[in-house]
Amino acid sequence: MHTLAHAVVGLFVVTGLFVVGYYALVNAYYLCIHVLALFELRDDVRESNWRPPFRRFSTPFYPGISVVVPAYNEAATIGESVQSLLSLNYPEVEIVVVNDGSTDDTLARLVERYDLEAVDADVPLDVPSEPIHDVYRSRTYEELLVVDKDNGGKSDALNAGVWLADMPLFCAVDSDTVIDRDALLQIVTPFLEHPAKAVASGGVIRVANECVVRDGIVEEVNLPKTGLPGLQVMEYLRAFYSGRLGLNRINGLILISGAFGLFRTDAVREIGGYRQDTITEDFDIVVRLHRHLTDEDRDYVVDFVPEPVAWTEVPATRRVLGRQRRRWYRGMVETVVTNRAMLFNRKYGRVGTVVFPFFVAAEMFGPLIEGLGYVLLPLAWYFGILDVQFFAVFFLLTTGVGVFLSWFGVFSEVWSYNRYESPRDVLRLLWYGVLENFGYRQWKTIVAWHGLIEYLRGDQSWGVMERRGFGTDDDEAAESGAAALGAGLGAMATAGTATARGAATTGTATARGDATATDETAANGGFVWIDWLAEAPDTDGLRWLDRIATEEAPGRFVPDTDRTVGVGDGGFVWTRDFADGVGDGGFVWTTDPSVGAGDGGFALVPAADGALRLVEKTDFTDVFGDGGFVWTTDPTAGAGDGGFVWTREFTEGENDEGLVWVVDAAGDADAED
Amino acid sequence: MTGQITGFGYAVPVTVVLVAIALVVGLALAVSFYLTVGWSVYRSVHDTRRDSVRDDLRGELLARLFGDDPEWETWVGELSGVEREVVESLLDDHLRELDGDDADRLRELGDALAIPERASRRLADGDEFERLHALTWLTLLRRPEPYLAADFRPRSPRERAAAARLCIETGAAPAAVAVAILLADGDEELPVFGQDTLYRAAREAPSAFLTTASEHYRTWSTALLVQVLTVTGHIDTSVRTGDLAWLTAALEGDEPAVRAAAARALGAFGWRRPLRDRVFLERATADPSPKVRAAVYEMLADWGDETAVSVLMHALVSEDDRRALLRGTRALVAHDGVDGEAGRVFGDAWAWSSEHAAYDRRVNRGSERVVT
Repeated sequence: MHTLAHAVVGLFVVTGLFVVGYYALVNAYYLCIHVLALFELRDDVRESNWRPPFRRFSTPFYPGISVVVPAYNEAATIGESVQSLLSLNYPEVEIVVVNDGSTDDTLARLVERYDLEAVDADVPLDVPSEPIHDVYRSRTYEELLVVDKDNGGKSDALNAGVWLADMPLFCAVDSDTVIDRDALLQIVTPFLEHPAKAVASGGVIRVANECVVRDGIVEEVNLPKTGLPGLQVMEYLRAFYSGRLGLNRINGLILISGAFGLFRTDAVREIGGYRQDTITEDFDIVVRLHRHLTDEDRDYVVDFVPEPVAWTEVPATRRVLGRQRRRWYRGMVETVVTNRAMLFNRKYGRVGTVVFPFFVAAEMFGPLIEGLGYVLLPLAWYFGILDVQFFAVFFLLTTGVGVFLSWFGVFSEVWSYNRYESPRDVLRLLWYGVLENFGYRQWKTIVAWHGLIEYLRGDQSWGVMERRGFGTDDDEAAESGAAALGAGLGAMATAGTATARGAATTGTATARGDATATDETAANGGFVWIDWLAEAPDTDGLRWLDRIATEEAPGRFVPDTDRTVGVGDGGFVWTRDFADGVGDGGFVWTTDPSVGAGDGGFALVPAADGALRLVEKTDFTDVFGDGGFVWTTDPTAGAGDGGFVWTREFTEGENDEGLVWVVDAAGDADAED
Repeated sequence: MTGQITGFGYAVPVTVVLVAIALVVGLALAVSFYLTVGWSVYRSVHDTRRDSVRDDLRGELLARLFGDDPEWETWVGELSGVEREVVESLLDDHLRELDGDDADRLRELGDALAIPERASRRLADGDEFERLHALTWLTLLRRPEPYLAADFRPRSPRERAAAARLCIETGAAPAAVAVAILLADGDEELPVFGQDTLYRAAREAPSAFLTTASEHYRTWSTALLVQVLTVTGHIDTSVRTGDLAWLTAALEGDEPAVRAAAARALGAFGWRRPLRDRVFLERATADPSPKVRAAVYEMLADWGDETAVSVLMHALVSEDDRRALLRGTRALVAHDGVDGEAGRVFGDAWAWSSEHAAYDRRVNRGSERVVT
C-alpha cells in the first residue's frame, strides 16, 4: 500500500511539475510572439501610412486578382454578395463564383440578376474538382464568371475557381464574408513589394456581430453586446494582432484565414490545389506551400497585412461555437499529422525548427495538457497532496499572465488601426480579457479533448457536411439550436400554442435560409424554410433550410415520397386540409400575427448586418415581406388557402412528396437510390 | 508553501520567487491597462478633433485654391497643431489628384507648411520610412532642391524607386540617371512602384534604358531581369534605335521565367525583321517549359504575319499541355486571322477561346452575339 501510495504521489508530483514547466515554456513563447508582433505592427503601420507617389490605377504592373467565391445554397444573399464584390476597388479584378451544386435557386438568382449566359464550350482543362456542368459569362459584367458544378465541398469548389481563374493572383473569399472596399488594394501589398517572391498574404478577420453593414460595407463598427461573441472579438484580436503578426516577424506565418487570403495562382496549382479530404483547408494549403517551396529550394514570402479587414459573423451560442472549435481542432490535428515530416526538420528552416513545433506544443497539446491539469487538481486535493496555497498562487499567476497577453492584443489594436474607437468599447474588451479566463478558457480545453476524441474516432462529420455543402462560421452560428423539424413540429402540432411558442427561436436565421435558434427550449423543435410554396413559388414564405444540425448529427430537409427515409417517421406536406396532418393544426403564412393560435408567430426580421433573422414576433409590421408564420388549426387563416402540416402520409398533401429531415447517412442512401 | 529554489549558489524561498513573479505580472497588468485605456482616450480625443475640423478645413482650402489670392502663409500661421496635421493630409490627397495650375498653386501651400525643410532634415537624419515620406513629399511638391543638396544615397529598392521618381517628376536629373539609380543593384527585384518608375524613365530615355539592359542583363538576378524585360515590352513605341539582340539572347536563357518574359517583350518588337528567323521561332516553340511556350505563342500571335501564324498553328497542333494550348488558341482567336474551320482542329481549347472572345466583344461593344 505504501508503495502504491508513493507511486500515486510521485505520479501527481511529476505530472504537476510537467504541467508547470510546460505552461511556463508555452507562455514564454506566447510572450515572445506578442513582443515580436508589436515591432511588426509598428512597421506595418508605418508602411501603410506611406503611399508611393504614383497612380496605381494607371500602371500596367499591378497584378490582376481573381476573387474566387464558393457558394452553396446562398440564394437569398448571393446577389448582394456578388454585387459587393463587383464594387471592390482594384485596377484589374475578376470575380469567379463557383456554384457548388446548390439545391436552391442560387444559380437561377445569379443568372437573372447578372444576365448570365452559358458558354457553349466544354472546359478545356483538367480541373481537379467534381464535374463542371456549365460556365456562365455575364452580358453586362465582363469581369464576372460563374461556374456551375456538382457538389464537392468548399475545397473542391475553390479548386474549380482556381483552375479557371485568369489572373496571376487569386483571393479566396467566403461568400458570407464582408470585405472592405479597399481590402484588395491593401492585401496585395506584399506582392507589390516582392513581385516575384510573394506567394501568399493574409488579412485580418474581424467580428461582424452587431456591426452595421449596408450594401456590403461595414458602416459602423460595434462591439457585440453579448458575452460569447464579445469573448471571440478578444480572441480574434489576440490571434491576429499578436499571434499572426508575431509569426510574420520571424517569417513563420503558417496560417492564412480561409475567409480572406490572397495567393499566387500558379503556386497553388503547382501543389495540386486545395485538398478535399481536410476540414481546415486554409491551414493545410499554407503549410503545404511552405513545404513545397522549401523542397524546391525557392526564395519566397508568405506575409500578413493587418490593415485589410474581412468581417464575418461568429457563433453566438456555445453549442455552435463548440462545434466550430471541434472542427478546427480536428483539422489542425489532421494537418499536423499529415505534415509531421516538417517537425524539427532543419530543411524547412525556421518554420520546421521553431514555428511549427511551438505551434503544435501551444495550440495542439496546450489545451489538452491544461485540461488534464483541471482533472488532476481535484484528485490531488482529494488525495491530500495538493498544496492549496501553491495552487491558488499558481492559478492567479497563470490567470494574470493570460490576462496580460489578452490585454497586449487589445493594446496592439488601439495603438494601430483602432477600429474600436470608443474607450468604453476598449474597456469592455479588456474586461473580456479577464472574463475569458474564468470559464471560457476551461471550456475550450473540454472542446479540445472532445475534438481529439472525434479525430481519433475518425469522425468526418464536417467532411460529410462538406460533401453536401461547405459551411462557414456563419452557417454554424445560424444552425445552432435548430433541430429536427420533423420531430419538433410533430410535437408542436399536437401540443398547440405553448409548444409553438416554445419552439420559437430568438435569433439567428439568416436570409440564406439557415436555421434559427438560440432558444434551448427548441431542442426538439425548430422552424424550417422551404423555397417554394405550392401555389406561388416566388413569394415570401418558407425556404429550404439546408443542413440543420443537432448535437447528434447534421441533417437537412429533402423532398421524398418515402416518409421513412429521414429521421422520424414523417415529414411536412403542404395542404389545404389540416386534418391531413398529425394533430389538428399547421403553419400558415399571414400578415396578421393574431390570426394564429397565440398572439404572434415567427417572422423574418432584417438585422443590423443585413441578414434576415427569424424571430418570434407579435407584430408583423416592419418585417421582411410584412408577414410571418403562425400556428393555427384553420388552414384558411393565412394569406393562402393552406399551410404545412406534419404527417406520416405524404399523399395527404397536394402532391405525393413530403419534406423529410435526414441525417447524412440516410441522405447518402437516398442519393444512391 | 515551503521549500527553496537553488541556483547559481543561492537558495531562494519559493514564496519569495512567487511573490516576485506576482509583482512582475501585476506591474505588467497595471502598465498595459493604463497604457491601453490612456492611448484609447488620447486617440479618441485626437481623432474627434481631427474629424471635427476636417470638412471645414477642406472647404477653406478649396476656397483659397480657387480664389484670387490664397494667402497660404497667413492661413497656415493661424492654424493649430491639429489643424496643420489635417491640412497636410488634405494637401497630400489633393496633390495626387490635381494637375496643372491648380496643382502648382497648391504646392505653394506645401512651402507655407515648411514641408521641404522638414523633408530635408528627414533625408539627412531619418529612418527608412521618414526618408521615403520626405522623398514623396518632395516629389508631390516638385521641390527637388533638398534632395539635390543632400548627400543622399538610397539604401533599399523602395528608396531607389522614390529617388528616381523624384528625378523624373521634377526634372531634377535626366531620365537616364533615374534608370541608373533604379538598376544600380542588380540583385534585388524592384517593388511595383519601382518598376512603374523604370517604365516612365525608359519611355523618356529608351536608348539609355536599352543600352544599360544589353550591357548588364547577364549580371542581374532573375527577378530583376524579368521586370526589365516586362518594362521593355511596354515601351515599344518609344524605341527608335537600340540593340535588341539581348532580347533574343534572353529568350534562350537558362531560367524559364526569363525566357517567358523575353517572349512577351519580343511580342512588341515583331516588326524587326532580324527577329523573324523561322528556325529561331521553331526553336522557341519547342521550349521544354509550357509557360514559356505559351508566352511564345502569344508573341507569335502579336506579330500576326503569315510566318508567325504558320509556326504558331503548327506548334499548337502538337501541344500537349492544356493550359499552354489554351493560351495559344486564345492568342490566335484574338489575332482574328484564322477562320473557325481551321481553328476547330484545336478542339475544346479553340471553342472555349472563341466563345470567351465573343463575350468580351459583346460586353465591350454591347452588340449582338458573334457566331463562331
